[in-house]
This record gives sequence, structure tokens and C-alpha cells, in this order.
Amino acid sequence: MVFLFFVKEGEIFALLGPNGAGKTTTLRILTTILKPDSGEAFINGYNILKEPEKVRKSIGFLPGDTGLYHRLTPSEFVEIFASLYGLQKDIINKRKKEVFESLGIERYSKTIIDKLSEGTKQKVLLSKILISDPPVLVLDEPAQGLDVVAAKLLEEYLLKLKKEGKTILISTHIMEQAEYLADRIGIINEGKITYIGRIEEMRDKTGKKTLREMFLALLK
Amino acid sequence: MKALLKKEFLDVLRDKRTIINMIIIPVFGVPFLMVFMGGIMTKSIKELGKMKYKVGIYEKVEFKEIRDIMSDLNFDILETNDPHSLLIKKEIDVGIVIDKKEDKFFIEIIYLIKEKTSEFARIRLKKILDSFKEKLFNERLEERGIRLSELIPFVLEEKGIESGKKFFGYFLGTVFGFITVILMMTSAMYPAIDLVTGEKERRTLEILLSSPAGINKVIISKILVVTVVSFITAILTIISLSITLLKGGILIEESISQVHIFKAISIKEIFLIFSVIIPFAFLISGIEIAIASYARSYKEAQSLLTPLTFAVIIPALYSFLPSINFSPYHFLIPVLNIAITIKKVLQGEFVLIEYFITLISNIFYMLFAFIYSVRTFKKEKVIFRV
Repeated sequence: MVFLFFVKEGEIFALLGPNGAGKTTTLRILTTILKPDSGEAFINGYNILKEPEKVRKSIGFLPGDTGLYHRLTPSEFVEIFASLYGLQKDIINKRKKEVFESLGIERYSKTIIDKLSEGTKQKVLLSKILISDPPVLVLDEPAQGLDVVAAKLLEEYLLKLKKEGKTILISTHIMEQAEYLADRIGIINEGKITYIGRIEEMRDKTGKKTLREMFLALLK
Repeated sequence: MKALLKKEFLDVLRDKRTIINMIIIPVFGVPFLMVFMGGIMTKSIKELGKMKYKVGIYEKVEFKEIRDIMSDLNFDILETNDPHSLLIKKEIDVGIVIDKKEDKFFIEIIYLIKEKTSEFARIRLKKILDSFKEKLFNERLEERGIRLSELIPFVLEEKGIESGKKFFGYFLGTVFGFITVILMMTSAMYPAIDLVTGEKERRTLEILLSSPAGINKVIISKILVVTVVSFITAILTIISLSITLLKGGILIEESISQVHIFKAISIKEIFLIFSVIIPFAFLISGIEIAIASYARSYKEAQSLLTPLTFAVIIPALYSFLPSINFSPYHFLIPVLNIAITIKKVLQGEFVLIEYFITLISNIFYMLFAFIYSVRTFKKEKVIFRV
């Protein structure tokens, strides 16, 4: 894979591409799960190869609904991950209370995650990020498996986080979601970024109306 | 690390399959099997003892007293000229041929080798005939005015004293080494699959690896948790087997079953056993995690780990064989060395050099498994194989 792209601080950048284009691999490299064959990448100013620990402290990664421990309770889940980010127990408890209250999931805090509805599970995933409070969020197909209501809730929270200054990199194949959320869009195909730009710029370039049409035109 | 261990333990201990293999099988399954099997064996032996056996008698010459005795002692008598054929057709359980050469009766007992009913009939028949022979012998001596004691130059008696511990150790040692290594392997299998392949399938591994914990801590915590599960299984197995054998009285005489567990196994023996079990638990855990790392799905992991079951059962079975004299080289073989060391320690035949060969070789294997597991887990092509 060869490409170059920047995500600006406080923006939502959506990575679009067909299956097998390299979206997940890109996100895995940026989150230090995989090592690149060559080249460099920086997250929050830290080199992913030279300072992977600092990179990991700067990011919150959401692989969608599937990234939940179904046998833990929401309380245990967020506590454990907040501890991994080095937060003290009293701070974790304070933030957990605030976040759970704001998301309306306090009464489910001691329920096994497997027994929760999809929407509540999504809120649990979000609460993990909100409590750990990293500056960069990386989301791989976050709406996969979600119903319309849960997907909408996720989108609203992502916009809220953006307003708070978070930098968000999202990989998705749901065009409507990308159109609604993204400040800029990157199109990836066969391991290469073929286009980066704002939706208005894409429209000007392709002469198409919908993001789906623009995407297909730019993919060629 | 503490948070990772907490997460792994909570996740594993809430998995029913782990609980079944780690707790239910050693605590309830193994004793139930032993009580059940012991009960069946006892019942079967009692039934064979009470059974009315069919005896085919071929009297080349008449020996009336023999027939009278057998009629009185619960045998069905069938007169025949060919007890061999009847025995093979299983129309009789045992046959006797009565002949006379010069002035002596010759009685031949014919039975089917490895045929349980025939063997039991032979034992009972032989006991009766021996006792009858002794009775006739004494009568003949009396007829001649000789007392039996005058003919015997000295009295030879044997008095075997069971230490209790040794007797206990014989039973426990034989079964414990074998059962423990197998249960340690099977109990580690599900958590190993769940914590590696399961996390791959659920994509939770990605949030774990992208967290500040880092890959080294992630894999070390997984190895530790699987090791602990395997070790707990070993502890529960030894406790449960000890209680079953001692308190359950299975296959044990009354006097021996009174021996208290803590008198039967000393602290030193517990230490010796656990000292070799710990590196073995690490070895099992490391190997299973490494293999599970290659699998893309739970089912594939189970298939990949199945051959490991045979790799453990075969050497474990070898330790079970009573006729083998183990050389120091046997104590270098993984699995086998653990099973025979446990057996020897519990049977009171513990040899220091063999123990050290087992311990040191297992520490070596443990380190190998640990390094192999960490390296495998860190291979991107393995862990993210699609």
C-alpha cells in the first residue's frame, strides 16, 4: 500500500473504499496493531513505529459492535480499559458516573453486556472512549450491525465529540453516514488513496449529485 | 498488567466451558466416574461370586464324592464325554476330567482363558477341590495314626504390613498422574481458544492491541491466566481424587479408607508434585495459545488442538503401564515425565535425580513454549490470518 494523507485536528475524515481496498489494514497500521512494510505515520504528533506506546495512549479504537467483551458488565469493561490508559481509580469512577448518566446507561452498569440491546451496547463502546478521553478516535465500520436508531445515536455522539475537538478517522461503506459526518473524504482502492477532498470538491470534480455516484466515478 | 489480568480472569471464569472443564469435571466428573466404575466392578464381582456355574464332568472313572460336593456347593452338573466342545460352545462354564492312573485319581480342570465367567468358575472349583484334597489327606493320615503336625518340619507364615500411605499412594499415584495431565490439557484448551481465537473472531483483540497495554503484556496475561486455569484443575483433581479414594472407599479396604488424607500425603510430597506441575501448566498453556493463534475461528482452533490431545494421552497412558521400568531418559519426555514423577512420588518410590531431570526439563520446555507462544502471537500473518 502506498499513500499519503493527513487528518486535521478536530475534523472527521472518512475513508471510503470497496471491500479489500485496504481500509481496515490502514486503520490497523495507524493504531499500531500492524507494522507497515515501509514508510511512516504520525498520530497526535507521535511516530507509530518509534513511539507506539504514546500513539496508543492518544487513540481510542472502535471496531464496531463486535469489539465488546460480552461476558463483562459495562462497568467492568470501561474500568479495565480506563485503567489501561493509566487513569486512577477515583477519576475512573467519577468519569464513569458522569458518562453513564449522560448516555442513560447507568442502570445497565452491572448487567452482562451480552444481555444488552444493540443500542445500549453501542453506548457502552462510546463510554469506553469518553472515559479514557483520547484526542484521536479511529472507527472501523462503527455502524456495522446497528439498527437505524443506534446508528443515528452514534453519529450524533461523533459530531458532539468533534465539537469538543476530537480528531476522528472513520472507515465506512455507508455513503449516507460519510456524507453526514465527514469534513473530508478519502477514497482508497487497491491499497492506494485515489482521491482526498471535501464533498463539494468531489461534486465539482465528478458532476454527480450523490456521494454514491461521486464515489463510483472517482473509483474508476 | 493488573487490569489485563482482571479482564482475562473475568472473561474466562464467566465462560461455562471453562468452568465445566476446570471445576465440574475434576470435582464431580472424576469422582462420579470412579464411584460409578467402582460400583459396577464391585457389583459384577459379587454377582460372579454368587453365580450358579455349569460344570461338565467327564468321569473316565467314577469319583462319587466329587460329584456330591459340587452338587452341595451350587454347581449345575452335566455329564459329558467331551467337555472341551461344550466349553467352546459355552454350554458349560468349566469342565473337569476325572481319570485314574495306578491308584491315584487325576482331576483336570478345563476352562476358557480370558473368559471372565469361566475364570471365576475355575477359581471356585479349584478352591473346593483343594479343600477336599486336604480333607482326604488328613483322613488318610489319621487312618495311619499320624498327626499332620509331626510331618511338618517348620511353619512358614507371611505377614505383610501395609503402611497405609504406600497403599494409598499406589492407587492415587497410578490414576492421578494419568488423569491430571489429561485434565490439565483439556481445561486449558477452552480458555486458550477463547482468549486468542475468540478475541480474534469477536474483534476484541484489536481494541486490546490498540490500547496502551501493548502486545507483550496482552500475550503474557493470556498465558498466565490459562496457566492458572490449568493449575487450578490439577489442584482440584488431586483433592477430589484423594477424597474419592480415601473417603469413598473405592477399591480400598476398610482399614485403609480410614487413613486421613493429610497423613497419606505429606507437605513434602505436595511440594514436589506442585513444583513439577507449575512448569507443566505453563508448557500446556504456551503450546495451546500458540496453536490457537493460528486459527481463524473457534471450530478451526478445536480442530488444530485435537492432535494435541493424542500427544498428551499417549505418553500419559505409557505412565499407566505397571510393567515398565523407567530409565532416566524417560524423565526427559514431556508429559510422560510429569505423569511418572507424580506416580513415583505418591507411591513412595521417589528418586531425587529423576525428580530434578523432570523439573529442569519442564522448566526448559516451559521457557520454549513461552517464547514460542509470544513469537507466534506477535506474527501479524498468524494473528490476522484471513
